[in-house]
Formats: sequence, C-alpha cells, structure tokens
Amino acid sequence: MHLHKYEKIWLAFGIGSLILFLVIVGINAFVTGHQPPSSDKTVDPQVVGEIAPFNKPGLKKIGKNEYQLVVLTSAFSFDVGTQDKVVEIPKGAKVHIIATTKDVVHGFEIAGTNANMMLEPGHISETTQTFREEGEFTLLCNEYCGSGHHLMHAKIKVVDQS
Amino acid sequence: MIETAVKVNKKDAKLALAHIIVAFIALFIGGLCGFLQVLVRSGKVQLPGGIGYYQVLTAHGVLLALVLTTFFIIGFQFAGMSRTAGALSNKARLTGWIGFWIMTIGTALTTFYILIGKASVLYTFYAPLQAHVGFYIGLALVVVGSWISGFAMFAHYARWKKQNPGQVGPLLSFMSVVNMALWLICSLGVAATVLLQFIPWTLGWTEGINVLVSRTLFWYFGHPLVYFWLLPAYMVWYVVIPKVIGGKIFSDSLARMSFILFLFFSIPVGFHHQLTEPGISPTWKYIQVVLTLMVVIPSLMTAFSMFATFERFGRSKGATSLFGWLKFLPWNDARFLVPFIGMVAFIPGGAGGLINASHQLNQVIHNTIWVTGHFHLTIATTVVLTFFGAAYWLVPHLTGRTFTKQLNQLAIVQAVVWSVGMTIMSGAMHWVGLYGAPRRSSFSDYGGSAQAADWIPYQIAQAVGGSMLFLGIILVLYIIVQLLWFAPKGEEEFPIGEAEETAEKTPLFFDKWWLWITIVVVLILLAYSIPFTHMIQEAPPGSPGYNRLC
Amino acid sequence: MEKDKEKTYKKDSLKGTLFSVLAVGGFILLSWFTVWSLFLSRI
Ligand code: HEM
Ligand SMILES: [Cu+2]
Ligand SMILES: [Cu+2]
Repeated sequence: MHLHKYEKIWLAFGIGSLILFLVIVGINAFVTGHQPPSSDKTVDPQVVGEIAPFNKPGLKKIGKNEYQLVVLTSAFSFDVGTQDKVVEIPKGAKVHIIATTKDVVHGFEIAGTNANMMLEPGHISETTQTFREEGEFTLLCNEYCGSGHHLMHAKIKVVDQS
Repeated sequence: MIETAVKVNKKDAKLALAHIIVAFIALFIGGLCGFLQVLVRSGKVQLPGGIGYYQVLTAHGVLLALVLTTFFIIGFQFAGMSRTAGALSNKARLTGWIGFWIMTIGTALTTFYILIGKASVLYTFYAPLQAHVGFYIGLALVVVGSWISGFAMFAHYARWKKQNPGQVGPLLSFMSVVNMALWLICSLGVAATVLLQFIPWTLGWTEGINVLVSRTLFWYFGHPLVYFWLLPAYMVWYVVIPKVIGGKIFSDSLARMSFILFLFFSIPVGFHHQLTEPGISPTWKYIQVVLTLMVVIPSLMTAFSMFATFERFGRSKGATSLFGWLKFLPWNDARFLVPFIGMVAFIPGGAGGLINASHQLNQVIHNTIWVTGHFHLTIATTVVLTFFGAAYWLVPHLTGRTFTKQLNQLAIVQAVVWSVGMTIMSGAMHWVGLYGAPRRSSFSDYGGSAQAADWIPYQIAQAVGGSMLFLGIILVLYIIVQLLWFAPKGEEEFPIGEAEETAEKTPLFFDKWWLWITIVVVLILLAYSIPFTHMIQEAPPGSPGYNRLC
Repeated sequence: MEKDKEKTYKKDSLKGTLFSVLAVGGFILLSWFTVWSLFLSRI
C-alpha cells in the first residue's frame, strides 16, 4: 500500500508525539513514582469499620511533616474523624491518604489537587498528596453513589503553623 | 468501485427508516433531559413533581448514548449495505426486522423503569447500585437485537462476496461489517456482566457481586462503544463527503486500513477508564495506555485523508495558493457543512481524549465535568452532527422526498446554533473541570465551599449553551419531520464516492476476516487475561445491592 | 514583499494538507502540555 510522502511526514510527526507522551508519563510513573492510584489491598466492606486503620478515621502524624489521612466513606458521607468534617493539615505536609467505602462505589477528589481516585467496596485506595498552598480545599465525591451524591463532602484546611 | 444499486431497495428503506425514527424520538426525549440538567445545575431551577436529577440523567445517557446511536447506526448501515451491496435477501431483511423489534422492546422496557424511578443508576449502571431487573433485561434485549441485525449484515456481505468472487467488498459495506464485528466482540463484555452478574444478583439468585469485575467487563465494552459510534461518522467522511463535494476518495486502501486498525486497537484498552481504580496493577494500566495511543494512529490517517480529499478537489477546480482550495468547498451545502463542523470538533475532542488517556494525567480530569465537556464534543458534536448531515440526504432518499433549499438553509442555521451552543457549554465544562468541578452531580454548594462558589458562573454558562443546544434539537427534529412526511416528493441522491482514477487497486487481502478476528482476540487476551484473572482470584467478598436512588 | 505573495502550487500538491495536519498536531501538543504542566504544578 502506497503512502504519500507528506502522509509519511505527518504519521512520523504524530506517532513521534504519541511516543513522547508515553515516555513522559512512563518516566513520571515508573521512575519518579507518580503512578495513578492502584492499591492492591482488599478488605471485607461489611466489617471494614472495625478493622484498622478504618476503625479510627482521621489525620495521624507519622513522621516529620508526614501524615496519614484515613477516610471511610458511606452513602452519603465522608468520615474524616471529625464532627464538623474539617481536617486541618499543616502547610507543606506530605499526606498519605488511605480510603475505602462501606457500601457503594464513591469518588474521592480533593478539588484543585491531584488527589483523585475511585473507592470501591472491598478495595482500599491510596494516594499521596503534598499540600504546599494554604487555603481550603473541598473533598467531594465525584462518582455517582445515589440520591444524596452531591451532598457528600468534607473540607481540608491547609494552615500555616510556623 | 462496482455500483450495485443507485437506490436503496424500497423494502430495505422501510427497515432503515424504522430505526432512524426511533433514533430521533430518543433524541427528543434525551435532549429534553439534557436541557433540564443544565437548568438544574445552574442552581436557578428545581425539578417539579418528584422528578429526580439522576433519573433525568439516566434517561439522558441511555437514550442518547445507547439508543439514539445504536438505532441510527444500524439503520444507516442497513441502508448503506443495500445501496452498495444490493437489496437484502428476504431472509436478511426479516432478520433485520426481528433485531429491530427486539431492540425496540428492550428500549421501551428500560425507559419504562427509568421513568417510574426504579432505575436511576445512570447509563453505566455501576454495581453495587441496583436497579429494577427490568432495566437490565431491557438493556440485554437491546444488545441481543443489535447482534441479530449484525448477523443479517454479515450474511449480506458474505452473499455479495459469493456472487462477486475475487473482488473486494464495496467500501461502505466493508466498513459496516468492520463496525458490526467490533460491536459484536465488545458487547460480549457487557452482555456477560448483565446476564451473568447483574440479573442473577438482582433476582437474588446470587448474594454478592464482584464490583471490579463488573466494571472491567463494562469498560471492555465501553471504550470500543465509542468507536462503534465514531466509525459510521468516518464512513460518511470517507465515502459520502467526497461525492457530496464533487471530489474523489483519497485512497480506498487507506480507508480500509484505518478501519482494520480501529478493529484491532479499540478493544484492548478499557483500563484507560479505570486508571484511578484500586485492584489493577499500574503496569497493566500503562500497557493499555500504550494500546490506547495506538488507536490514535488511524485517526491521524483519517485527518490526512480528509484534508487531502478537500485539497485535491479544490486544486482540480483551479486553486493555486496554499489554502486556496478551501474556497472551492461547498460551504452552502448542509450535507457537507454539517459533517465538516463535526470534523472540526474532533480536533479538540481528540486532543482531550489523549489527555484523558495519558495514565496519571487522568487524575487531573477524572470524573470532573471536563469529561462531560469532552464527550459532548466527540459524540454530541462530531458524531451527532455527522449523523444529522447524513440524515439530510438519507431520510429523503428513503422516503422519496427531497431536501429542499429552505430545509438546507435551516439545516445550516441548526448547525451554527449547535456549534455556538456547544462551544459555550463544552468550553465551560472543560475549563471548570480543570478546577475540579465534578460531573454527574446535581447542583450543590458543597457546604458553602469557596471553590464550589467559583464554579457557579461556569454552570450558568453551561445552561446558556445547553439551552441553545436544545433549540438546535427542535430545529433538527423539524427538518427530519419534514423530510419524513411533508417535503416535496422527488429523488434525493445517496452519495457514494469513488476512488481517484490514479489510485492503485484495492488489494484483496482486506477481506481476510478470520485473520483480523484472530489478531483482535490475541490482543484482547494479552491486555486482559492476567489482570482479569487477578481480579477474580484476589476478589474481596461480593457486595449486596443498594438502591437509595433517585 | 510582493514577490512571495502568490506562490502557486501544482494540481497534485498536498502542501495545504501537510500544513493543516501539522497545525492540528501543534494544537494537540499544546493542549497536552498545558494539562501536563497543571498536573506537575499540583504534585
Ligand atoms: C440539548 C442538548 C444537550 C444538553 C443540554 C446536554 C447536557 C448534558 C449535561 C449537563 C450532562 C452532564 C450532567 C452531569 O454530569 O451531571 C450531560 C451528560 C451526558 N450527555 Fe448530554 N447534553 C445534550 C446532548 C447530548 C447528546 C446529543 C448526547 C449524545 C448523543 C449526549 C450524551 C451525554 C452523555 C453520554 C452524558 C453522560 C451521562 C452520565 O454521566 O451518566 N448529550 N449532558
Ligand atoms: Cu457520590
Ligand atoms: Cu475510552
């Protein structure tokens, strides 16, 4: 089959761009460690509320400016360990988020950050996010989970403690 | 190319029209739902009488993404095959009618359960949300009906091949067969999850459902689904548009080549919809990302072919400057202009798709309203405008009427209204999606969140654009009703392009169907067997059903 | 100034096509890198 000379140029340019994209995201994923959230841990969703760490949702300090945030969701709320559903995080903290759901599929998104992942019953989801900027971020559910889906939210307050 | 029939056989025309009529009814109801959605999301309007936002959104997704598309495509392909490979045999036609009625009954059943509020699970029906079993049975019937029609098309193509030994099948028929093969192979996944997982679970025969497996089977189907929508648009671009402008098909072989590449690479890529999900190794996700970007290549080829067709035509009319050929295109002909706008929309649509599929880059936009903005460009503009542009000659061709000057002008107005409305709606969706505004969500202030307050102006812009789109739907329906029943009687051409005389003969090997199918199966096994086995072996306890819907 | 204004192209030239598709490619690269930089800025 015959290709026009310009079509060859175009395909070379196009395929070259695709390879460039793949190399960039590949290096970022496999070398720098920014894989999309893909935790492989499982748990029984019926009793997950009694199993550590989900028996005590909330923020825990685990190192110098390093934290773990445990979140347990159910229709239609985020349990982040506080009554008012506000989590205060020190500016610059690196937060390891671990979350799952007791019932249906939910979405876990901290708007304006890269923390964006699916929560599925029986599976644990994990991601890491560093909060460099002060301010209030909305944690919301971005996967339809039933009639109260759009009412499902919490707040992340990044505060300067220095 | 061998022309078998200049006109679609009268009886085949009825079959095609039946499909097209259902498609446009779905467009009306689904479009009305879309209009309600943008109004609700603006925060200024509430739905009356206990109608749920998610009920409306389910109807919108099912009727537009599944019903409008499948019915139009099957109707168009039956007409196209009758036109290029000759009238259907009585048996094939009867099979087509059986397929049509099964699909129609299925659609009615599914729509009924959505309307009575028992199936507000959205068109993706993710477990463990649980709808009434009638919703799933209806969907299964739609799929099974489409298979039956697909078999009628395969049989028709095989008959043509038998009658014309040693010749390559007519291009439009060849493409229809590729599309139905793609559809058959991919919809096995959705049929499997509906028949083996959802229906037994909803009836209480099984206790729990494996959520990750059901989602994986859904997206094994869900991505090729979008190519099932897109390929008929490409058929119009490759085969019909050259004739409409008075030019030639740039290359018959390249067109077939790109369709075969779509068949190969559009299926083993479903993980790019599951990039942020647990339970799937990031390496397997990346492998499917690589395969996903391969499927861009035939679209690159298509872009070149389209421009080349246009340039060749303009130059044959005497264009001499670099872009002078553009002037010679028939901008006043809706049969050209409307699909052309669809082509233009595919540029940002394709660019957005590449972003969506780029592994961790998906985290920026996953489940934000950016995604909704993206597919309103690809399907609700590229595909839908191409279908509208095709309906403007196809419907009168089938009804024995004509697409008059006035209707042509109205069709141009329609396309302009659509383009402006979509630019506003989709543009606002893309932009605010990058700030994190979620999709599939009724209006909410997220507890007085300052971020969510910033999203509201964009939601109002969406309502403005969306209202224009609804006006566009009224206009296109008016035109279609005219073409079906009122436009003056006459003959409207079914345009089929021919390859350039200088083009080389299309090689026969394109009809090596078993080879293509084998390659497809190998690619699917490569991409899925290991991660899918892992999902089953390492499965957590199954989930019971939940139905706090509305 | 005047002399390069009206360069003419032969009947079978596909220069316009080449420039058109390259413009499409440029648009794709631009969009992709814009969102990629947004991703990096949010890491
Ligand atoms: C009047 C014209 C239209 C308007 C105003 C409109 C508006 C909308 C809006 C606002 C949403 C998002 C709702 C949300 O996520 O909360 C949506 C979703 C959707 N639209 Fe449209 N749309 C229109 C036409 C179309 C067409 C013609 C198609 C396809 C052929 C289409 C396919 C879809 C699909 C598949 C969804 C996703 C549903 C889901 O997430 O479950 N729309 N539409
Ligand atoms: Cu939700
Ligand atoms: Cu996809």
